[in-house]
Amino acid sequence: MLKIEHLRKHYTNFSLDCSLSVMPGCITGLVGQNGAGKSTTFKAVLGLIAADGGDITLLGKDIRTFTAADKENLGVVLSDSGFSGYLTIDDILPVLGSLYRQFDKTFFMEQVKKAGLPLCKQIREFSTGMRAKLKVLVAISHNARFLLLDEPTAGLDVIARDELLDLLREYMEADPERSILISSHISSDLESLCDDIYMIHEGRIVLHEETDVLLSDYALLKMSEEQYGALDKQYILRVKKETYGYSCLTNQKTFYMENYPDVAIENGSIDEVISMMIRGREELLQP
Amino acid sequence: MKGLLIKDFKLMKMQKRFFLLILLVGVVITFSSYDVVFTTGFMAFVSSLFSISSISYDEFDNGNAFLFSLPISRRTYAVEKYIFGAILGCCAWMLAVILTTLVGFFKGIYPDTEMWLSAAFILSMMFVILALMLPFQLKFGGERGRIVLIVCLALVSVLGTLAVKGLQLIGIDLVTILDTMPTVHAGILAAILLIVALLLLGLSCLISIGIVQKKEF
Repeated sequence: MLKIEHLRKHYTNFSLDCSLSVMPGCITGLVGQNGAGKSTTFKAVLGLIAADGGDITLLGKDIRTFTAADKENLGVVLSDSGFSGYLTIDDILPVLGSLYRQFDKTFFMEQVKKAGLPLCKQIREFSTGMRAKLKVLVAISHNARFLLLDEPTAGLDVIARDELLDLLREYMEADPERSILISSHISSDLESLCDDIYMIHEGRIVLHEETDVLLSDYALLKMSEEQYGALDKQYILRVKKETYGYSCLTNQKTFYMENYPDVAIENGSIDEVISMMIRGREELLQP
Repeated sequence: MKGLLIKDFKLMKMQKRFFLLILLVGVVITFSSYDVVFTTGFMAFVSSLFSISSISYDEFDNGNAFLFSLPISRRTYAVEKYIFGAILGCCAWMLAVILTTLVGFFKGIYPDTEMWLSAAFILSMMFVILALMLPFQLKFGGERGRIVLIVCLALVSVLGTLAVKGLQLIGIDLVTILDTMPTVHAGILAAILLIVALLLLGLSCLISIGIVQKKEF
């Protein structure tokens, strides 16, 4: 569906070098801090910015040869951009109808009604939640094969987030070949939705793992300095000095459970894995 | 293209009071002083410039990023701004012509060649103004675009004056040359003006396509 190979983009204080791929039928998550390079990656895939190097293949086509007609197969949500706030839903209906040959007006209107979005109110007067829902509805209402969603749940409360994720699940169920690349700050969204997750930090992919593996095999080990000294560190990914000693991130939870029953082992949540991958250090692993 | 045009017309809808005001001013001026050049010029220029404003609307709140992720090409976007401006300008121009003709009949003034020529001249000017302003607006955006355009126009007029003065210094007087040129039939002159204006518009459109294609959002 999407293959990014060494996408490079340089700004004065930031450089991106990112490779990732999204398989057909999969929801792939992209997580990282603000400014880690998520939006830059999305923008490069959409051709909004020119890459300094690397290759992007989207729906089997080089992004450089992507045409307007090809873009009809994409559904896009951008975190900081959308339809002009001066327009109303009534205004954008004919716009969508003429931009997308497969725009499903009935479905769109049903969802708009279900979400309680007003038809004649300017979008700039919408609440954050309403705006986010509208963006997603626009993305899923024209039979797109691939969704690129940059922070679609940002600023939403729990209920609104769940509703939005349900919409995405329904979208995926309708056709097993569809895929989604989604970025989010909220790891619980990703845990419940994504098949695999890429973690990006300072423009580099620092981790790629299937969500199931991430949740079952990754763990946080907490131990004193003596325990740390005696620890076999071959499956430790990151280490962080703590007041009580050390905390370590592993991707082989069972190994440590079996061999170090005294060490406190906590199941890794995506949040903890992110935090350790970013704030933990590798060099402490060197003897 | 159609989708973009619909979007721009929907955005324009918000300014309907502004357009009614333009029409009102046009009507009042025509009734009070019957100035064809002013009425057609005022209505056509001000209306066509909404194409410039629509670029600012697109830029507002970083809207361009989303706009260009929709199934449109950058070339289509640039061309659409010209078509949108031309549609608005031409409609307002036609309205102004109809208005002045009607008011003329009411006042017992019948359209003559001079009126048609003035109207044709105004139409050409409207295309030239669009041709000048759109690339600046697309390149530099709302606020900066206007400043850069003013600076450029000032530079052009300074250079023009310097050129004329320079030619005078070496003994060539442009005004005399223009005066001694063979007189052209007014109709042909109007047609030439219109063709030149449309060629300029086409050239400007090509430049704008280049500008939009290089932009990052």
